[in-house]
Amino acid sequence: MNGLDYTILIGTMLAIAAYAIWQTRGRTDLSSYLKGSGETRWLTIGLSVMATQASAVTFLSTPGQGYESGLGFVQNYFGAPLALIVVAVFFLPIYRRLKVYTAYEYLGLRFDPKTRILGAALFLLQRGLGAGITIYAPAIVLSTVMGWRLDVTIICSGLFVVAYTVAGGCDAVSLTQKYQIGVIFAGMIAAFFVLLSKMPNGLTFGDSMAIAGGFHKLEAVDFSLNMDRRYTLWSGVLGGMFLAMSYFGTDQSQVQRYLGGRSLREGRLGLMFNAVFKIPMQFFILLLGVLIFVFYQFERPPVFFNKSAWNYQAEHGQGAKLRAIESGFEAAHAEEKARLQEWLVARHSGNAAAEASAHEAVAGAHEKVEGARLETRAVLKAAGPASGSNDADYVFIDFILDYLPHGLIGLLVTAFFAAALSSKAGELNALGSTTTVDIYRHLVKSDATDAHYLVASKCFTAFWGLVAIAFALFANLSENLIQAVNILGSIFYGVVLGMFLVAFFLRRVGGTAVFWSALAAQALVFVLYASLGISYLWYNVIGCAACVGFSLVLQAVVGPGDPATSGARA
Amino acid sequence: MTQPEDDEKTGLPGLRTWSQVYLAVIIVFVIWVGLLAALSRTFS
Repeated sequence: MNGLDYTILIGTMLAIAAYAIWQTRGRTDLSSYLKGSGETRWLTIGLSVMATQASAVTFLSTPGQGYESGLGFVQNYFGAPLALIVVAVFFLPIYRRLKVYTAYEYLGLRFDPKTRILGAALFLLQRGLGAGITIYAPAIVLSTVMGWRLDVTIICSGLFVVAYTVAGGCDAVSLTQKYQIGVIFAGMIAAFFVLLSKMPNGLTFGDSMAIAGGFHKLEAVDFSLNMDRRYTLWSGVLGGMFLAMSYFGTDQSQVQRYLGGRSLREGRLGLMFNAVFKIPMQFFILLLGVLIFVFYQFERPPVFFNKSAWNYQAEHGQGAKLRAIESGFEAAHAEEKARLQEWLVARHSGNAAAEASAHEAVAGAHEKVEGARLETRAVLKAAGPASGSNDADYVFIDFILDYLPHGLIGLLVTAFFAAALSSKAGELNALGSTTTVDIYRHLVKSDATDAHYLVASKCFTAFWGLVAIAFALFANLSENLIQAVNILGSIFYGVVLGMFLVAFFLRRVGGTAVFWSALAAQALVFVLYASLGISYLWYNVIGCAACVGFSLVLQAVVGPGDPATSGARA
Repeated sequence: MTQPEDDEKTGLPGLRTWSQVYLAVIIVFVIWVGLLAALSRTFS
C-alpha cells in the first residue's frame, strides 16, 4: 500500500461515516434511533440487508473457497430466495402490524415474557460471539498481509464503527451500508476485469472455464443424497432455507433493517431484491476465486498463501525443510504449466484422444503441486498450529497486493473494510436494541422516559462493540472464516426459527411448552454437533424440527390453559 | 387483516400482485439453479 491507497482507504471510510452522522444529526427520539425514520425505500433496505449479511469475510474468504473447492459453496445460498419469500409473506406483515422494535418482542406478545427473554438471549449469545468473528476475521488477514499490528487493526476498526453506530443509530447504519456496498461492488468488479486482463495471451474465457472444469472447480450443483457432504443441492435448499429463514426472519440484525421501511411494500421489495441477487452475487465472488486458480496455473503462486506464516517459520528453524519443498513445488508447477499448454493445444486441435491423454498428464502434474502444498501445510502445522491453519483466506488478498495497480489496491482494501464495518454496524445496532428493549426495559427499568432508553441504547451499543473488540483480541480460529460464521449461526438458528414457526402457525401451543422445548432442542443440537459429522446446514433443520416437535408433544402433555395472546397471532 | 392500499400494490410493471412477484422470484431461482447445473455438466 502506498500513499494513494491509504488516502483512498481513510478518505472513503471517513467520508461515508461523516455523511451518515450528518444526515442523522438531531434525531433524539427512541423510535427513529432503533427503527429508523420510517421513510426508508426498498433499494436502501435491499442494499442494507445485503450489506449486513455480506461481511468482509464474504469478500476475503469466499474467493479462497472458490480457489480451493470450486463453486460448490454457492449451494449454501440456494435456500435464501425461498426463505426470503416466507419472511416477506408471514414475518414482515406481523412485525409491522404489531409495531415491534425487535423480533423477540413479538415472542413476548404471542407467548410470555420468559419465551421472549429466551429468544433474545439466544440471539445475544450467538450474535455477540459472531460479532467478535466479524471484526476478527478481516483484521487477522489484513494485518498479516499489510504488516499492521493485529491488536491495533482490531481496536481502530472496532472503535470507528462503534462511534458512528452509537452516534447515528439505525438510519446511520442503513445510510453507510448503502454507500459501503457500492464501494464493495466497485472493488470486486474492478478486480474481476484486472484478473481477466492478466490471463495469458491467447487464453480465451472458454479455455479458462475448461481448465477450471478440468480441475473440478465448476461443480456448482451436487445432486448427491450423502448427508456427510457439506454442500449439496438438498442441504443447500433445505438446510440453507432454514438457515436463511432464521437469519432473515428472526435475527434482529436483519429484522431491524426492514422494520424501518416506509411501508410493507418497501420492506417486501427490499427482501425480494436479495432473493433475486443473492445467488448471482455469491456465484460471482466464487467465480473470481476459480479464475484466480486458473491464473495461477500459468503464474507461479506462493507455495503457501499466508506468506507471513511461511516466512516466520522459515526464519525460525524450518527454513531448510520449507525451502526444499518450495524448490520441488517450483519444478512441479513448471511441469504442470507445460502439460497444461500441451492440453490446450490438443483441445484447440479438436483431437479428443490427444486431449484426454494430455488431461491425464496435467492431472498427474497437479498432484505433485498439491502434494508440495500439503507438505508445506504439514510442516507449518507441526511447527505451530496457528501457522498451519487454512491459507485459503489469503488467496484473494495476496493476488490483489501482487497483481493490482496502486489505487485499485486501495479501493479493494477499502472494500474489505467497508464490508467489515457495514456488517459490524448492523450487528451492534441490533445487539444494542435487543439489550435495551428485551432485557433492560423489560426486566430492569420499565417506567423510564424515551430519552432514558435512548441513552441506554447508545450505552449498550457501545458495550457490545467493546465486547466484540475484546473477543476479537483473544480469538483464534482454525476453520475457514466464512464457514466459522455459518457453523456458529447454524448451531443456534434452527431453534430460534422453531420458536417463531410455532408462534406463527401452531396457535394452540403456549409459552411454557415452547420455552422448555426450545431449551431441550438447543441441548439436542449441542449434543449432535459434538457427536455427528454431518453438514452443519442440517442443524438448522434438526433444531427447528426438534423445537416444533417437542412443543407439540409438550403442549399435548400439559394440556390447554396456557393460551396464546390472541392479539399477536398470525 | 386489512392492509393499507399502498401495501397491496407492488408497483412493479407486469407483476401486479405479490403472488406474481413471488412466482417470478421462484422462476428466477429455478433458472439460476438450472444454469449452474448446466455449467457443472458442461465442464465436468
